[in-house]
Amino acid sequence: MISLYNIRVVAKIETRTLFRSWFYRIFSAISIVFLGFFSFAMLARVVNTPWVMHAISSTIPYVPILFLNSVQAVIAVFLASDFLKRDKKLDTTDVVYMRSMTNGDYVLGKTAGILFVFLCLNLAIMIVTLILQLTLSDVPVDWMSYLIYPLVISLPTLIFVLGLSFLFMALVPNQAVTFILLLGYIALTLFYLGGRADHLFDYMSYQIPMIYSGFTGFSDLRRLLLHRGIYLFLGFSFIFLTILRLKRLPQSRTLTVVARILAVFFFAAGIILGSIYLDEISSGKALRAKMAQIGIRPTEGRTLSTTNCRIALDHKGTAFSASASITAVNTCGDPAAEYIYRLNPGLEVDAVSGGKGPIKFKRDLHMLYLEPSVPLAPGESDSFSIEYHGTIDEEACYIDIEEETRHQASRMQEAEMMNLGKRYSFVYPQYLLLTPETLWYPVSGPGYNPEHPEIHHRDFIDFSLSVKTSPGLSAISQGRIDTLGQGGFRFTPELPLPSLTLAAGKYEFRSITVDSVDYNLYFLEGHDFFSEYFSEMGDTMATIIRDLSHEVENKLGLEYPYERLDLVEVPIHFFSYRRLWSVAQETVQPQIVLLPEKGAPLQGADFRRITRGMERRRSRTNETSSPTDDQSVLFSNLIRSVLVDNSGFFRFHRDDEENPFAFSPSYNIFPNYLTFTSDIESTRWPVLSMAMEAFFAGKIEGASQPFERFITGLSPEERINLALEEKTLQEIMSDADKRDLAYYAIKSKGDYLFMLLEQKLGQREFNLFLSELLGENKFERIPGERFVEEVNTRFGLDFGQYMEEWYNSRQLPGFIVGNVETFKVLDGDRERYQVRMKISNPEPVNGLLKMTVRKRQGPGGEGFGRRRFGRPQDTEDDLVKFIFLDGGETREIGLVLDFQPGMAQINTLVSKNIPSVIEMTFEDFELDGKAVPFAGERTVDQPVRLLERGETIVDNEDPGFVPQQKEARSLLKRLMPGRQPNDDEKYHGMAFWRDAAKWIPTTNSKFFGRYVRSAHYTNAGSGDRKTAFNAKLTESGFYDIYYYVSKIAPPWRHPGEEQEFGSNHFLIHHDDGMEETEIDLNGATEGWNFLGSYYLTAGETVVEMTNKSGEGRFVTADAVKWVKR
Amino acid sequence: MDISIRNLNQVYKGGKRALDDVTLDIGSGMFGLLGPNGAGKTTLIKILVTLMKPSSGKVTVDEYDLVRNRKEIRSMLGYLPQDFRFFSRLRTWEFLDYIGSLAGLRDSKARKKAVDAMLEQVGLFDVRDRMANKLSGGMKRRLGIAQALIGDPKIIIVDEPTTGLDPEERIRFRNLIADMGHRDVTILLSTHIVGDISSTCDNMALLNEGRVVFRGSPTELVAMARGHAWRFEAVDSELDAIKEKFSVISTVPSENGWEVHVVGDGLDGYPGEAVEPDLEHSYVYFMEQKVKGIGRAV
Repeated sequence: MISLYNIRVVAKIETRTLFRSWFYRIFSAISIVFLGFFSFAMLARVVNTPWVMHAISSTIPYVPILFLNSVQAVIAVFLASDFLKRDKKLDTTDVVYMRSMTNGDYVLGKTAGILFVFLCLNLAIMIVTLILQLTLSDVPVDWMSYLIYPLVISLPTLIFVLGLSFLFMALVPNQAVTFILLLGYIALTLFYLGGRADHLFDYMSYQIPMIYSGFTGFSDLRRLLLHRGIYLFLGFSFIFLTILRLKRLPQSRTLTVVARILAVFFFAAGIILGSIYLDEISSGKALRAKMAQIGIRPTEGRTLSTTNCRIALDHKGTAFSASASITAVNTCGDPAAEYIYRLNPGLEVDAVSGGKGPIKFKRDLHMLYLEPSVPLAPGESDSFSIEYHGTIDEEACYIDIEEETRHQASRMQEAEMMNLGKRYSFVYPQYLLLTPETLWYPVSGPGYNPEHPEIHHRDFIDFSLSVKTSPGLSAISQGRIDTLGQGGFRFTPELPLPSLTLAAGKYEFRSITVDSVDYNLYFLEGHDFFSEYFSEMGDTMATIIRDLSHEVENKLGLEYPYERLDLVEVPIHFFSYRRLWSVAQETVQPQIVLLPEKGAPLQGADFRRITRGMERRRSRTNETSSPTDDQSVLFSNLIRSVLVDNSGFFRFHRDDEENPFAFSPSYNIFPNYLTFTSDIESTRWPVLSMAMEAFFAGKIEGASQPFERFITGLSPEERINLALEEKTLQEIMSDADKRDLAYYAIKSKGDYLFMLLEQKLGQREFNLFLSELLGENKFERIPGERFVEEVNTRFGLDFGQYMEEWYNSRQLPGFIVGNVETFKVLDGDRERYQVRMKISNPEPVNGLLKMTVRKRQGPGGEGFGRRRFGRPQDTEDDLVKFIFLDGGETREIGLVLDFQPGMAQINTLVSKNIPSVIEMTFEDFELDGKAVPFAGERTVDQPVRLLERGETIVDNEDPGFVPQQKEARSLLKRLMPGRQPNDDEKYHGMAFWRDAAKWIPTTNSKFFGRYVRSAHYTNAGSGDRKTAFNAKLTESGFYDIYYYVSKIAPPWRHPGEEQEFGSNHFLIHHDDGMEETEIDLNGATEGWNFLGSYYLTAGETVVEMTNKSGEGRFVTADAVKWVKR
Repeated sequence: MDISIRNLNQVYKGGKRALDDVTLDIGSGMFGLLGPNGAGKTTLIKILVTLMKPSSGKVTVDEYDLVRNRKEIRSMLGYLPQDFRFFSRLRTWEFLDYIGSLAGLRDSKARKKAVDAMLEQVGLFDVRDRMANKLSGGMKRRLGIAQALIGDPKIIIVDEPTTGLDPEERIRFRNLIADMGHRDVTILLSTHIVGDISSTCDNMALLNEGRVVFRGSPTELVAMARGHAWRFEAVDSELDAIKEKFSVISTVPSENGWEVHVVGDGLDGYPGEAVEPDLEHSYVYFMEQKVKGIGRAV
């Protein structure tokens, strides 16, 4: 029926033929050279590659195979279809076809031959990569990954592509049509289908998670095998169908029958695997929906608060059994006839018993309803024990996270080709990670309520935990640790905790004690890539930790409460989301930070690259420094950026590049100071606790990246402000589609609320009040109403009224900044720097501004104080000032400084202003000997005026601005995804790599505008695209016409760096006709620039601007002003 | 090996009938299949080499049925198709080795030996390492016959083997075919070139418009034309009329004008003489003069 001999013969000749094909040879040579060079550049650190590519050893073979696979899938189409084309054309095939072999022998032989040559190429690339890794890199080789990736990625892809190509060629008579169909299919999967249905259609496995963790291997081996199995089986099915459809008379009836059966079998197998794959996704979704549905109940639907929880857990293989002895108190006003607890639905409850014997219980998914024999009276306690076993169902985690977010790939923008995968828990024989989100122990209350997603209850519990796991594994959890023989551990937290986390693995650890706090670093055996970089630090490490700790405590006014801080390395796949009720993510637990494997997403963990950079900088500047100094910088930057600033990680990818709400992991230890030690619980204003967290977190966190804003068009804060003009905070939160927005809205408004209170009530007094309140109520819930009452009593304020407005108002303040003056003044006999400006808030509601003045750094270098790529976080050198304006108020601000200021940033916080941060640079300061220094604020009568008498301005926001929006793009470009901004967005970033084929609205504080400083930009061109500024003049006469110039350079450009801005080209229509004129932007100053004087009759007039720009790349259209002479 | 063809019909899509109730018996030795272009020779051959399924009819090779026993029949066959080119990226010996492997020469040493012997036999040993598609036309034909012969097939089918060859290569090729005829094999030589048959075949069939119009030996075919082959002298002005009246076999310049060989039932007043017909005279006479009547008879 099937002859292996014949298959081998056919395969051999196909292999030989393909190896001699120039198409294949050129492709192979290019692949080997390109990918070899890529690997070389990556491993030799010739180019800066993200740390993840070095930290996770498996990425070294993974990335080249991924690239190769995408291309070989296309090449295989050509080569596969070539054999049938060749066979069709030549009678030569007849001398082969009439030989005694089955069609199966022939097709399988051909398949095997083509497969072999491609696998040889895979092998060659793996060998080249391996040699390069062995010779150039200090990253240990993950031998298995060199074998696994070609098998898991290339093999199923090739078999599928070959089968599909054969079948198409056998079915479709026209070869050109076949190519179009096949290449169309490839393009469709690459650009459109690949990311859908959890990557079901991604036959090239370009998007499915495949990073291999040193802890636990693939993120989800089962799903990966399902996925690859789909394409492997479908490929086999197509190959057997090709056997049946081959244009050669069959030789074996048995084979025909068997091939038919196998084709159907493999096709069915592929479809079944596909349906299992989809079913698992949809069943997870259905499970979460049901779980969420169960949580819908009145906001006070909670019965007990756990006060004490003693857990004994026995970890065995991929499951565990446990018993939890719980003491709980009825904190409700009514007797509790039912105790509501939650436990992961993957865990089966064996028994529940109390002091009087067994307690009846019911399970409904994650819910556990206990029925005590007697209802528990309010304020009374009860103790009971729950025994359970099983494993964690990760589909039951994060039921509050919308499905779209959940199914988005976990990618870092700097390493987009790698989907890291998302795991929420790990229960493996060799590794265990259980965080509170998994509900691995019974948690009181009904939990997430989709109708009130912001509500979250926090118990402060006296935990104790005993763990039995496999010998050789070390367990990590909160509290003092006692070892109980091989694999036995007991943890006794010294303080009440809101939650408990458990990890167990082959951990090693390093420890240092600073000011009675133990700082422990737990890392997987063999993952010590860092010690050599800190070998010389000695006591300096303790000093840096102490200084940073003091700095954080001082900024927050809160103390670190625990006796230890454990930094625990966890698998790269571990993922967490932000929640509406807290700034804390699952990555940060009381006294534990769960750091990603080898710090892969952390920029600061790439010690080798940073050290080399320091050495290079030193050699350029001839500076000298000791190894201790270097290592101190390395260490200090890392822990500050990761644990405090929340800035030291690569940004995670977002599927929609204009969505700034993309997830970023947080390892900020801030929740240890506030979130885990206190809770303001309010059913009326449930976000109060989160608002306070946001306020405190803002004291130490960095702000969003200006770079990011430049690309995306709007910062998260600005999007929130736009949304808040349309909806109240409460409305935003109840909109399920705006969950990401809601998080930022609460955070932004919360921060604002407390800052406003701080300014209104006195910064020192208010902070002292908060510190006292939180200190007195540590590890206790503070009722929201009590908090409001205390604020009212202490400061004589109707805080409740404030809260109502804050929660339910749609009105926002708006700020206009003007009359900026900078000069030197004489203050006594001292020359000082005076900055004066006026700020108006014409809106009826009050508002708050934060002004930051930065020191000029000197000519060149950092220029005016703007930090290239820098975060606008305040430093000690900056002057920070908060300004409160009532509705309709104008204030004059005066600063008298001893240093020459380079720039000021005015953050308008929650306001109508876009950009929300107004930047202004200060040039020269001339001495004005007569000026009287003015420092402080005063209310003035005259508001800032943008328009003087006799002036007419048409801004791009005005109806008179009419851009010609005919797109000048080819059909192909229009079809390419992601090339054009989403029209639903109001403003867009200036993505310089994007083809701006029409006038695109964008914002920048350099543009002209009242609250919204915007312009429209487009590609520079020949003048074929125009926009018109149409004005209506009330009087005839001579008019001076001006255009508002702004020079926009990308933020990655150095402020002092020279750049070609080109020119702006205008067509001015006047009574005597039309005149062309232009402004050379390189020579022009920013602001209003004179275009010329013209006689204009009253009525309609127009100035047109074209996209002609000389050497400029973009043209921005902002505002035109007519000034009557 | 005896090939028995019974009532074989082949109708293509669109209704074109390529074979019309063909019945033939082909025994061991050289068998010639003669017929004009489009007569159905290649269709018959494609059916015989299992590349095409007949619309109806039956073909057996000894006890094997062509449809049911493709495996057995294919293992007996050697085939040289009409239009024969090579995979562009194989050397001469590699191609032959490949075909040898498929022809059942599983032992690599024996196969190598057979390949070398075959290359010697067809005079290609010196170019064994040359890419097969770089061979001259004659060499390619020889390689073609080599691949048809390798593995000692019991039935060898060659389709229009001498088309396009120069006279020297054609003679060389005919000799090769003739050599094969001495073996105990069945050789089916399909051609429209009469000379190929006359020099090699003991038996033959004449195919026209899908039907067998003659079955017998070449001598029998020649005999049927005896008394109908003529030679006479003609001047230029007579040529056109002669061509209209007779089937002209050849026109050779002579002292007085042209020496014309024709076939026909009589001279019809032209001064000439009867000549002994050869196969070519017979074929033309048969096809032009007798085909309808004799075809019905056969």
